[in-house]
Amino acid sequence: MSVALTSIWVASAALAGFSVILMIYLILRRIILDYFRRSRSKRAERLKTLIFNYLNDDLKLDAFAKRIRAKDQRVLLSLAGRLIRGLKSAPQQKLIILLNKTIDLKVQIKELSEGSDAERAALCSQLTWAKNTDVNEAFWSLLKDPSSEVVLSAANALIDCGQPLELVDFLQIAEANDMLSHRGIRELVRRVASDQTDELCTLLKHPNSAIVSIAADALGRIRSTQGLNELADVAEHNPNTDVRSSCIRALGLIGHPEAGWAVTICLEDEAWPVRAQAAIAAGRIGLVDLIPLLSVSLNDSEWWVRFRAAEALLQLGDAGSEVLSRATNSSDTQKATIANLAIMEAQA
Amino acid sequence: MGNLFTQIIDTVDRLYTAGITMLATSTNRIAELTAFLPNLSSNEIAVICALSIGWIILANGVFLNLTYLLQLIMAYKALRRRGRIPDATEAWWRLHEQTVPMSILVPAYAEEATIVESVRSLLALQYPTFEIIVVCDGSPDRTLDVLREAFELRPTVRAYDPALETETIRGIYDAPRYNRLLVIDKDNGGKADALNAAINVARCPLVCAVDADSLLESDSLLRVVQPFVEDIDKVVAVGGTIRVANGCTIERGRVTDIHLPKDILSLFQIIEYLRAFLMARLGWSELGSMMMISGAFGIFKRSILLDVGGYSRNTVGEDMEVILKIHRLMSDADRDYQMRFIPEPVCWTEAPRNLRDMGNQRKRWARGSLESFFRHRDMLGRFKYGFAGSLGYLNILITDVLGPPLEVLGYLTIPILYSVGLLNIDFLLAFLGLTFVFGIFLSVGSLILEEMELKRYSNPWDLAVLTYVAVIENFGYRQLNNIWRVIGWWQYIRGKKAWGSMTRAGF
Repeated sequence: MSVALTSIWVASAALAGFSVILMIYLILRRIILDYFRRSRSKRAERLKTLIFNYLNDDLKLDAFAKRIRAKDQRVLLSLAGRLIRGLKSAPQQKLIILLNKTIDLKVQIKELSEGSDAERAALCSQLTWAKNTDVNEAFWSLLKDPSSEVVLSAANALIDCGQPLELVDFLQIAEANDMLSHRGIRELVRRVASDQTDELCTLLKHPNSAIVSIAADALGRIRSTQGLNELADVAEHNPNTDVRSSCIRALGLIGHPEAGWAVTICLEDEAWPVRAQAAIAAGRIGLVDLIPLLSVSLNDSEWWVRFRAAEALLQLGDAGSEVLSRATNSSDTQKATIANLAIMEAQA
Repeated sequence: MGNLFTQIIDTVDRLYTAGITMLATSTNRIAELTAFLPNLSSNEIAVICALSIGWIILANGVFLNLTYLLQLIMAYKALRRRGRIPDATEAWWRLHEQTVPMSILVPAYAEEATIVESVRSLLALQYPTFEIIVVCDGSPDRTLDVLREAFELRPTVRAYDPALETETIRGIYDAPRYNRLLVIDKDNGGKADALNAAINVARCPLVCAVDADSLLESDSLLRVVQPFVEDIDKVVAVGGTIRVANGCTIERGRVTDIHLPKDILSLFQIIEYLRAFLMARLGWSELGSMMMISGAFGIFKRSILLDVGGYSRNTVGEDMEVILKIHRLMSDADRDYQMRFIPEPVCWTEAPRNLRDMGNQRKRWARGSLESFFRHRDMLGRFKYGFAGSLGYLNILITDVLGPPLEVLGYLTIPILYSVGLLNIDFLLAFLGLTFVFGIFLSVGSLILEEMELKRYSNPWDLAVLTYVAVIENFGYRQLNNIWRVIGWWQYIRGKKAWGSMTRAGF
């Protein structure tokens, strides 16, 4: 018992002492590192000045290259990576020529497989100017990386480099890595959606509901009429509420009147998110024929369905507005309230 | 001393005899039981009692500190794993197209001194799509008036589903020049009621509850939304770090320069907040047992808050209580979910500068913890609720429920028992080690995490001062906090509900 008690206070004292000594060491280290950090920030400032002088033709390429040391490369890459995004094509090309001359790509490719996930992901986006076979191969190999951040960054880099990233293959990788709920996947799919609408239509039949939702979302965002029938079919028959909701939303964004029958079916869906999206779609597409159904939806059990139906009526011209105005005087208080709210909000 | 010792023994002896007599005359069975008890002398009984008390207090201290040690280790692991953190510009480029629209909810009561600066700082946040909903909760001062003057508010209509019950909303206002801003004026109903009103009116899928006296850093939303970006389906709530703004330079609603305050109370609170967020929250997040997301800076899926019925109005610990409700809902529905803590996004807040306000705050926090704990006590130890029910709830039991009273009991009894010779020096040293010395390790350990991974304090002298404060806070300040928490216990038993007030200096 005495040993146990002794060990408690000895351990406490030892840990406390150790932590204080470690903190003192860190403070001293900070003082020393602050000096070198000032040097590093001076380096970044120096490189910035050099880059701007070069872009302004005050400094020749060879002169620039002579002033770059090996340890400047990473900082130069980081600075240039940010600048390239904001530049117009002529200075952008000039900067790319500079980077091609000064950056040792072999070293950077090696660093793509080292370091933390965040560093490797950042490096992917900083190397897209290279358009080099070895760099592209490195990006392709990173698609198998276990980190979702790195995979996404590599995939985006491949797109930036004009590489043919197949959506079907990429989404399979994402599915295998359990990445489908990453928002970045949707953005990436949207980037290539315009060139791969056939593939997106095929993906609407995929057994994984997340992939179907992603494909529907992309088709909606690019306003492609190519997948109208498939989207309508999925909106009507898919057992997953999120999928039906995504499809009907996409149909609303596409805005083609041929989606009318799918919207009609979905206005009576068992799930309220689908009914709400269908009401929104009716308004967006301008489906005047659905005014009677929307009027019935003003009595829906779910507030959001009622409100979206009221909003849709307001978007359907004089006929819709008239129906809504009449609803404000309805003996049904629920209907009258929602009609009043929608009109007042639209006028506010 | 000899006389005192004799008197104590005599008293214990008399009590023991009286107690045994009472028990023996009550039932025959108890009389039979007492017949088997060894024939102990008064001294021996006194020593047994003293040892029992001593061991219970020490065991509590050991469990408490082992819990803290676990948090520190897990927090360190989480920080080391996260790698390089992008700066604000890079974070924007990487995330701005992937973010989810967010409603920032700002309940405001008697905030006329700081509300305009707070709202201005929120309007300048770097985030693609968001709205700010300020709720004037029946303020007795000019909170609504100053907002009206500063932002040229005008009455508007905003249709909303009154899914959560709240006090009457008197009016909704928008600002022609600030289309992200909405102000709700309502009858007083408390912070939870104000938040529920804002949740009703909010239109974005994510909501961020922020205190009206807090200042968010400009990139904090962009950083705190990252878990939702990575897994929008599973993540239901994320918390950020709260830091003490006392002493910092604040310009136009932004902390532009981080300095240490001059008063010792604020310095103590800096260390305390580092421990609470960098160590505890991060540690529990890593273990998958977040039991608390601060009401001053927490992001939730709006749908989840609606599913749990919003914030509970009849508690002062509504922030902890809503987390427990979410754990319960998701576990009962057998849904896969995550609650996370991110250390980088920072919300700066004004900490109390005097003992009265600090005491009121700590007592209220204690009451809130106890209310939440007992309300959901059936979650304790049940593996159905995953790590939250087993580890997380056990942690609340040890640190918030049993810990403070046992530790305060220790302050009173252990020295006395040692001085009368009932406990030996090893006991005393073990107790001092656990309650005073180990705390130094935890406080300085949190500071080490801050310096190794986050480096917010640019001045080495500030770090030296904080190290000194981290040592001395364990000799007085920590004990005072425990006393306040025990008073909070007492207030909880007596059913006290009031929030109390705080004197604000303003930014």
